[in-house]
Amino acid sequence: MNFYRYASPQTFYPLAGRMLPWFVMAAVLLAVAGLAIGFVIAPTDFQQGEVYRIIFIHVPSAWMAMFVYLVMAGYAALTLALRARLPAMMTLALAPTGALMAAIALWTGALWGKPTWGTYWAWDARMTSTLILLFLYLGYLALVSAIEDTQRADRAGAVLVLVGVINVPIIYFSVQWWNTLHQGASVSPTGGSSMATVMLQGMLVMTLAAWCYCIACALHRVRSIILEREGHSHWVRRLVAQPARASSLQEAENRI
Amino acid sequence: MSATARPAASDAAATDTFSPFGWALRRDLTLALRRKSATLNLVGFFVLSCMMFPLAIGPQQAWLQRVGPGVVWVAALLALLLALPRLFEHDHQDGSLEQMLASGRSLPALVAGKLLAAWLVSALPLVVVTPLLAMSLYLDGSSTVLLMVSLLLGTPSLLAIGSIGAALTLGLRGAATLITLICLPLFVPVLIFGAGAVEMQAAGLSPLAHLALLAAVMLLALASAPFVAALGLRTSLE
Amino acid sequence: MVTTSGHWFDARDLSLSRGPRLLLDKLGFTLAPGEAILLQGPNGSGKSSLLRALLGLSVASGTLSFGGRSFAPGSGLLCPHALYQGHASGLKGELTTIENLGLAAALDGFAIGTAALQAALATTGIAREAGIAARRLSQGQKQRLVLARFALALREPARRPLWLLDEPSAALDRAGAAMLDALLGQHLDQGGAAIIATHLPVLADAAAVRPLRRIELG
Repeated sequence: MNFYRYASPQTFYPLAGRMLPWFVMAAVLLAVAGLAIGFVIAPTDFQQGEVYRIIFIHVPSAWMAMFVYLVMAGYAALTLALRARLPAMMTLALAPTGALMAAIALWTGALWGKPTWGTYWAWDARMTSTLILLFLYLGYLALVSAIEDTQRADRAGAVLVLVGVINVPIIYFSVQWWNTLHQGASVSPTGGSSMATVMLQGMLVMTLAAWCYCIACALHRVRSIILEREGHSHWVRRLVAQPARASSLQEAENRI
Repeated sequence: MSATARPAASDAAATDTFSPFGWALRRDLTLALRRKSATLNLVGFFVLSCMMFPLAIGPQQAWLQRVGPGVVWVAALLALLLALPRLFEHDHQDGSLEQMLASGRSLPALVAGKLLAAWLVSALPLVVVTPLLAMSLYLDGSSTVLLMVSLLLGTPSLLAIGSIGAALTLGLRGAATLITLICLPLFVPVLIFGAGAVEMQAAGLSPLAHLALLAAVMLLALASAPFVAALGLRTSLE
Repeated sequence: MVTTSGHWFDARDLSLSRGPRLLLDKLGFTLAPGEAILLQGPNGSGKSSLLRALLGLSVASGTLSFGGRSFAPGSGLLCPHALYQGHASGLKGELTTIENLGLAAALDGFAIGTAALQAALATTGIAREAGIAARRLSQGQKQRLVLARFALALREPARRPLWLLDEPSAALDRAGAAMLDALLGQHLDQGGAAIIATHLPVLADAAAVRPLRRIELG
């Protein structure tokens, strides 16, 4: 299969459209399975009771927040190296989803923290790092939306993401350093005890569900971005001008 | 990245002894000396923001002594954030940045010269004023010295990382707030190692590890920032 | 030195877009020592963008050949051999006239002494303003200061033989325009070349005696 064919927005658009329903279905099925394992099948935790179940959402979202940023960095590198349009669009498409994952991780972390140690926010290393990661996402989105010229916005955003990805290990390390020296609360979702296999399985399934969800979101969003940016080109104009297949009698009647 | 090479600085002429770094350094220092108000404003901001803390949390010696190093560090960080938009903006507006790009000289070297000038003019005055602030926050002599050392090691990193943000946001409306949003997460390690060093000593432990990490970040930042900022400048001017 | 294509300077297949609009579509031209090209066209037709693209300041595709090498415009390899006057003056208001000229000359790589700087200022008619801060100059005087850089360049014609000028006669009075013509004339006589984007008559008198091509854009 010639991958270069799909490097143009025009050919990628329909491909993304075909892939999208599969990833949505996969996300839904995996989420149902994962939530079933997490909230029904997995046993009550010895130390934390039922509250611990939130880790089935917290941990996958935290992992995805990090992973999405890495994928964005990969596309950013392609944007700068190839001066291509589509990798930049993928970076832009992934960013809001990554930010959402980080926000969910923070929110579920707070919800889990309150009943566990009595406070919503405890400045522990992982949560603080996730918060900083959220700001890295927001900074990227702010920069790209502030620049009107899309070519400059794409390249500037790509540089920022690459600078960010190099800094993330340094930031994580420094926050860990800061936290251990100040002997802050040490958060471990597993409560320090080894996890039961079924819990691990649940987290894995939920992580895969989150992964499919992120891909589905990115594909959907990149299609919108492609239409928006390539709006002047002939293929988009043809697409938009086509009378859509009437999904209802009402629409068909309106058209007549 | 552009796949083709930039002209080497020596391409311009065989007998050229021109140093882009020295040219930019001398130029920016001369300009700063003619526009002293910028430095004075920065120092004023630094001092005022430090003064806000005792006013806000009360004048008890124990409290101020405890938070002092952190307060000075945050104030210095914010002051440098103020200085960053000016790094390239004037040159961009009057066209001299475009001339620098068109000259064929090494842009990273020019940026490095500007960075050193900015550090001498914006960060060094803050370090000089720090003893006064340290005194107002009840810090003892050794803490003050360590605070100044940590600032000397940390402020170059802040300016270097900040120059990347300044380069990317060149000419944009609201660039100052954008720079803040972009740069603050990247400043976190410097802040942690810098303020942490002083706190370590206050706790009776050795600050050497923190200082070593601070120096490591500084070397990494100084080595890479001119190139990344140069790329950012070219992107912004396209 | 002659390039592989046989020309002293060669531009081929230059294409440039601004957003969705294609400003230049595979434009090509050549230059020989002593030749000048006038870029003409309405506002927004891409004159400034073309000059900037040759220096790698704007994005364009195509190939340039100069000094025995072929390269992409974006590589910036033409920059050390070119002298560029853009829309913005590149002058620092806080520095004096002669300080500005000294900085520009150093950046351009010309070995300069105060006497040479003074002479260049005299050529462009602003010798009396040498010690005045540049922000106090009039628009016309600022343009003369910008051109003083080019007057200085005449001393070493081989260093930066290609002059790229964007509206050089802007804000110049009749005497200034004559001075500009004289500068350009001497530069071309010494074997340099120039590409001038302008909508005003430049080198009008000289057109009869030297090769002067026009490229219409837009």
